[in-house]
Amino acid sequence: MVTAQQHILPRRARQYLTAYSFLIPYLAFYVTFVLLPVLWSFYLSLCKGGLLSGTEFIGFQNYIKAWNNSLFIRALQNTAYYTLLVVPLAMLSSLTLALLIDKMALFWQNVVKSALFLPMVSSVVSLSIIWKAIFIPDRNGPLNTLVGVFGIPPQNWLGNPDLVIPSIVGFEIWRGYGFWVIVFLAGLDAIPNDLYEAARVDGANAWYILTRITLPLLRPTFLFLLVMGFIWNFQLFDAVYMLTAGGPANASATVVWYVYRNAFHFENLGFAATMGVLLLFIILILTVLQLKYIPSEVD
Amino acid sequence: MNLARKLYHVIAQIVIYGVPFLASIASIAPFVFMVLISFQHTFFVSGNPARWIPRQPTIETYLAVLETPNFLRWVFNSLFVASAVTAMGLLIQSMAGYVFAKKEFPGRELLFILILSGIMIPRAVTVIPAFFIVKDLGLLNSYPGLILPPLAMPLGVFLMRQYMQTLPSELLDASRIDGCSEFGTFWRIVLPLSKPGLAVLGIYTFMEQWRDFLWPLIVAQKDALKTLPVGLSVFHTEFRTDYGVQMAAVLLSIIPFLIVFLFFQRYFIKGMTVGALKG
Repeated sequence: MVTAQQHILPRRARQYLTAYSFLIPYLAFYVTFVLLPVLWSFYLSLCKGGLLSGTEFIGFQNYIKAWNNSLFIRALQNTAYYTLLVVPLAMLSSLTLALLIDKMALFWQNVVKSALFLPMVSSVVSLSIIWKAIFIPDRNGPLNTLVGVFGIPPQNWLGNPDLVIPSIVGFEIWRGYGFWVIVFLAGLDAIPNDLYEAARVDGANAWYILTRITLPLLRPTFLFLLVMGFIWNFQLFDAVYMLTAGGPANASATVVWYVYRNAFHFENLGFAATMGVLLLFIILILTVLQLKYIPSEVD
Repeated sequence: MNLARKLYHVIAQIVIYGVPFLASIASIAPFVFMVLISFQHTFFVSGNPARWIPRQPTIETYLAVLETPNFLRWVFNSLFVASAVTAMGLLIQSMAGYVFAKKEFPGRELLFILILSGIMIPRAVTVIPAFFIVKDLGLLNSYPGLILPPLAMPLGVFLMRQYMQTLPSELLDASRIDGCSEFGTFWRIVLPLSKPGLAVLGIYTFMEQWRDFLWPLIVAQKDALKTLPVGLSVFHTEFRTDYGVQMAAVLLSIIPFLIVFLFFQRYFIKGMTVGALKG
């Protein structure tokens, strides 16, 4: 009876079953470690309590608390300030570099690519340990020695509230611009050669080719880096944890840093979840706005 | 006229080569600094002027690192966790990517959008409940606790789908007609044809895991289960003033991977820009 039923199962239904049997292993992990946690975080954001004390439902109080919490607002401002520095600076410098590298002989292209990529191979922790020594505020510290050559007096790079975010920005750009350059190079590679040739036949000069062909055709690459740049940099954590621990006086505290502190040090799970949820919405809104208002299509 | 054009050409060449070379030097300089400092003890900045090149190089710094109780264990943990996540992740993510690329079934679009939107979800949102789930499963301070949650990475499914869409469907039909089971088709036809895609995703996954910090920081509280980044973050606070020992530790933690990188750098560069190439 059972076997007979299996056979009369329509072919289509069997196909659906196979499809789902291929999906289920991944879906199980996705539901357990992404979907369920997101929903749980929404619920936690409506609770108060901690890892040890247990949680209690309090409605939207955490959201009001976040709005009035000067430290959260500060962390949000720091995160925005930091992202608004990193993304344009990395974008501009890596685009310039990629345009130049693209003109080099192939052998030197590969040499430069490997050099730029070197920092990407190591963890932020390892790189932070090196840079903590580079940032030594002493007059003889490596970075102070370097800027001294240009007549700039020694700085307390990570200890000065006005300098700490630009310093971390410098570190993050150094760490990441190899990646940005290589993404732009891949974008340049995808531009068909005959477009350039046609322009040259028409007698177009280098400036015309750059502004009318290269840059417009790089739009999808540009949009990708913009969107991902915001998503990644709004989540800055590792470098802050290692280089400054949010200091001095919270001048470099970012949202994820503050979430981590509240969840795992202050026993403040509900509030941590609230800030995480707010971050999710900020990232979501920014991404949607970027995708909507910045055209990726080439005219 | 001719001279002006020549001059222009020379200046262009100087800029084209000069700027990228300067950028390369900026990329490498901190590593050179690390190597130099790793061969001397503590007080390198107190001299006037500072002494960058060690006058009496010592390997005591390296011995101090290797004498740290769990240092080699951390190296092993990092390699083991990253390898396990890569192997298991490749299998389940490519299975999911395959059905999204080649099968029709109800709920396909909805499920795919659901998974894809996972790329935007910040870790800060998932990390707290994921910690509870792992804790309730009794997996805190265990290898499964480190390995299982990262398997949910949505990017892998997206990439494998993109890659497998390019495979000819006739080939898959032919193998089915020849009597291959669904999984047999996947295992013997689809996976071998997807090797380039798998290589790129594998390298990406391995790198992400090798460098990951937040999740192992939370899950591995026992010293013996820490991964290299977490171990180093503790180690570095213990040797706060001894920059030589710190640099030696960083160098030792980078070297095994650096060798692999130098051999396979072309694939690495591809693997790391994978999202962009498809974006």
